[in-house]
Amino acid sequence: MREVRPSLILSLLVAIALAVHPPVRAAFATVLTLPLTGIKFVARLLVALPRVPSLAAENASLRDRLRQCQLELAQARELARHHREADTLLHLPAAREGLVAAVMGRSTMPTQHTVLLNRGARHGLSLDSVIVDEAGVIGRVIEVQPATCLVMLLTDPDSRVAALVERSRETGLLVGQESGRCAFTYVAADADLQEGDRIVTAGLGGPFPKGLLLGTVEHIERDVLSGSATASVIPAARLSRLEEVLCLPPSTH
Amino acid sequence: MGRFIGCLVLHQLLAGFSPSPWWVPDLTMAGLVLAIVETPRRWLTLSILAATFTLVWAARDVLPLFVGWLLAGGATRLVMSHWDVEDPRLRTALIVLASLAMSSAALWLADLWSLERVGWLLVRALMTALVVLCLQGWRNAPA
Repeated sequence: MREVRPSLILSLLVAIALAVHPPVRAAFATVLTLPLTGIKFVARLLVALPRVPSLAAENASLRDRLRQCQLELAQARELARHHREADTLLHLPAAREGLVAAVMGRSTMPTQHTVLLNRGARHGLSLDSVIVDEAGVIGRVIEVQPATCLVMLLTDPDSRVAALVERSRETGLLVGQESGRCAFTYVAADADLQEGDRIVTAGLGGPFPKGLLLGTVEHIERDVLSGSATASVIPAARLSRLEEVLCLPPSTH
Repeated sequence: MGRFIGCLVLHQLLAGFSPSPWWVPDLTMAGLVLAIVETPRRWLTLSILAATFTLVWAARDVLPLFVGWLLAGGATRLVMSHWDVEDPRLRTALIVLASLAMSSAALWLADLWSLERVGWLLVRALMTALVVLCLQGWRNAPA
């Protein structure tokens, strides 16, 4: 046993150095991508199996909807062309293009709310890229690897987003709470804030552009003594059911 | 090793479908302890594998969490040299204690202590114990 000890300590030190070294973690994340894709495919297949009998009807309905959407898309393209022309005249920046990514897996640690995406630096993603879905903001990229990236969700305790109330324009800070909610803080006790108010990004000093939906106020606590109010906010995006997301480049100020 | 990898994959799969990681039993810790009980000489490799798997999703506290996994593996190895871990109840207790210690350390590192979270911690430990007992019962069942 005594002969083993120095080599054990040495291998332990080497292991610590390697495991916490970002390139090693990146390689591990890349290797994980393939099995996780397979597992997700099988899981989605199993979830979809009970729906097979109703698929024909659903398919017909979706085709109708697709035709409708194509018509709307043609109209939207026409409108976009008009907007571009107007933007050119007004010297406004062009609309930003997004990149679709799939969620490969999520953190198993209860205190860290992160997800791994199958897009990375190789696909043009950068640190602080904003991640959204059709419902609203999901989070931002905190670590970029060549083929993957790590996203900190809005509910992570370290997440901070400058936000404002869409209706009254009251500003504050949206802080993640690992209970699955966020807290809208740094708001005056007499602020115009109501339950059901929509909270959007303020676009102040961070990667988030202005006006993206963050969530809805669930309830408000007003502390007259400290002169401040805190609102509990339900994130707009279903952070526990993420499959495909849109990555936007970080806002530049 | 196959069962250990299975536990890691199952944990990741359940975490992907669950509304909160608190609702998922700590199968990574369960897999690690059970694998070390089976092959004690591989405790370091298994601990490093479990740590690296977990830390792919870590946003912060990478080094403390990594050391935590090594300590959990080392402690399991140490307990094995003093007690008879053939008893499934002792193995379950070991897993629950290691999981509680790891989760408590994570809460302490993130400064997130509250009564509600302690409740979640205990619920998770209870779920882990139940799953481990079921897994061991299934493994020990006659073919």
